[in-house]
Amino acid sequence: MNQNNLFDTSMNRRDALKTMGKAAMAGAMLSTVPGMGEAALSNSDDRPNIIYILGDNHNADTMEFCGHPFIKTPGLNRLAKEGVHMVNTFNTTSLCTPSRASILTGAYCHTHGVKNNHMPWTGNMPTFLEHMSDSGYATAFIGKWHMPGDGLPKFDYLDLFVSYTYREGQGAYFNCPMVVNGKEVASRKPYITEEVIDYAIDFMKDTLSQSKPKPFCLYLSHRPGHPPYQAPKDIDGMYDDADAKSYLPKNVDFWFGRSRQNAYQGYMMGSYYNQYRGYLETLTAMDRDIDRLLDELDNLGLRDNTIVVYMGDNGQMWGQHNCQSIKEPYEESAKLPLIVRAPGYIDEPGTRRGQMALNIDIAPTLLEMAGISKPANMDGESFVPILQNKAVRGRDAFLMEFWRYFPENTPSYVGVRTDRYKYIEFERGRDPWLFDLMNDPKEMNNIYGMAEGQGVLPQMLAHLARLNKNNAKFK
Amino acid sequence: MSLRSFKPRRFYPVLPVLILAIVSHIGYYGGSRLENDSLHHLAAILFGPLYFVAVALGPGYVFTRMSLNGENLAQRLAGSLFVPFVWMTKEVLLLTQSFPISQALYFYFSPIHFWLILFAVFQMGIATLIARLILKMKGDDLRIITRPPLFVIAGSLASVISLYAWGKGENIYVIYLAFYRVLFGSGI
Repeated sequence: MNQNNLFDTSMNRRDALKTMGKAAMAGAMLSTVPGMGEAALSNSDDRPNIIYILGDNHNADTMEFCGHPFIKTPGLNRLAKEGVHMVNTFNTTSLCTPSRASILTGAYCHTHGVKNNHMPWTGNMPTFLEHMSDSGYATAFIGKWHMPGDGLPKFDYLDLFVSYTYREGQGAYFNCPMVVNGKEVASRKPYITEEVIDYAIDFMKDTLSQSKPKPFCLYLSHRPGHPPYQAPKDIDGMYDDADAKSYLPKNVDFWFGRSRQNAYQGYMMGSYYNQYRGYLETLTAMDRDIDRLLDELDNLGLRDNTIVVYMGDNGQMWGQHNCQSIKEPYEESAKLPLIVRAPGYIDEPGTRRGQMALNIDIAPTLLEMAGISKPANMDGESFVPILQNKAVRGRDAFLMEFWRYFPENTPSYVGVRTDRYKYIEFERGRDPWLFDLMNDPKEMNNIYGMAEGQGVLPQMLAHLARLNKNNAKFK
Repeated sequence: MSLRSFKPRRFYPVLPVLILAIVSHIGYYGGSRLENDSLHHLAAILFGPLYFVAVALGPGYVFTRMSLNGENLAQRLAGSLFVPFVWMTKEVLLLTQSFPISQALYFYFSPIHFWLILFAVFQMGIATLIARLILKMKGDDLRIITRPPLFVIAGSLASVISLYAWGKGENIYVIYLAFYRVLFGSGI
């Protein structure tokens, strides 16, 4: 294939998209930076380093600085104090694998094609790491890849690819076998978060030690938050005395993990309250290593030129609406924790932003921070303007889409959320949902079919038609 | 067991277990709707364990009773597994809310169901020994300890424990999903 010919008919979709992306990227850089030539694209420069940290099943409210009554998250507290907390962040597909693909590509699932946890990485679209690499960044993917398929995909552009395939890529909390640049190696540290943070620190030091250090972009993906919950020895049992019963919804009881099909999701053993405590302990273990990473950035003198982002792949419901779930289109599943520490971009550290941000916004946002313009095929929008100015108006609506994932009992659905309403259509088994999030933030009263709902429905259907471009519902 | 030899009275030992399962199901789920928090938790503490006992431990009771009644092995197996099968069928039917029937049927092979059946088999081994002991005390001339029930007890117990111990149950779940993908792909 002729790499330079956009109209070569032998070019596949992915190559075409990548080539267009590169063209757009180079054009944007050359047009926005006067005098910048082709050579400058690969030279060391003063663009910021970027560290993107991903948690697993991290409920957006489960952080100490958000007012949670007993979890300890000093690392995330610190990040929020020095950055911005985006309080209305959502995933577009509330499930691990599709959400991760959306984060990497900046696209809705119907665009990149990874629709549930049974679908392997399609490779239809380049990742933002590939764009970063093409523009001269040293890039690394470290941690949980979590997309099925025959081993890990090949990403030749990565300078370091550390992940695991153990248990379908879920890995293990202790002594997880790692795959480093395609080679299986034993874990160097017993606990998984220590292990991946050590690789991250090694990567940063290695990049800095080069004769012409490039800026780096590091994608760091954690396991904590995923069952079966296991914390390191010194954290295990940390919340044994915490009053989980008072915090969790009243409908929850000791047996909740064995009822309502929750046993099938790994919540059968012990009391439900202890399952929740175990969840918090793994998050605290992750937080401790995030704190260690932040310390290391300070020690290396990188703090003022490194953007650090923390986000979750999806939320988690702990008994709300009688669900133990990450997939239901309620706020607890769809909402994500998102904290951005970006020196130079944020005038008022420690503040919050209420505009809606999405998982698909991560790629275009990080590309903009790296001076790379957004490829045309990305659905997301950069939220850099929102970070810089809290008065900037955000998006008015986004698409929520989900394809059934065996054996979790949530039907396929498609819907739209605005800053006030949420409308969801299900493939089977349920009537549509319409919630007024302003008057009913806990989504207790479905107004679909009611007079109030009838008035809102046309505008929600119009949003849905606009966002669901190919109108291929549930396929 | 031929159709002509089927006599409902032989399966009377199943009835108390089935009734207990139905009552505790209603008690547990009905209790969770109570506004009064104390009553809700009381219902959960009472009916949750009873529900578990009926579904998971019922096979041992039924197998013992039917053994004492002199039913053959096929009848004892059918009677003992009836309530677990009803419970599994309820779970499969629930899944049809989201999945076509072909995929929902695969849910019968869920590791949790597999574990439940193995646990029932373990109880059948124990029940055989208990029934023999009772019959011997009543004057029957028989050996209580023989190899078959001991093998059944040891094999099923080892399977139950090892399936959970092997990655806290996660590994067997991974295999289950791998077979699902062979059959149904992504299932969309």
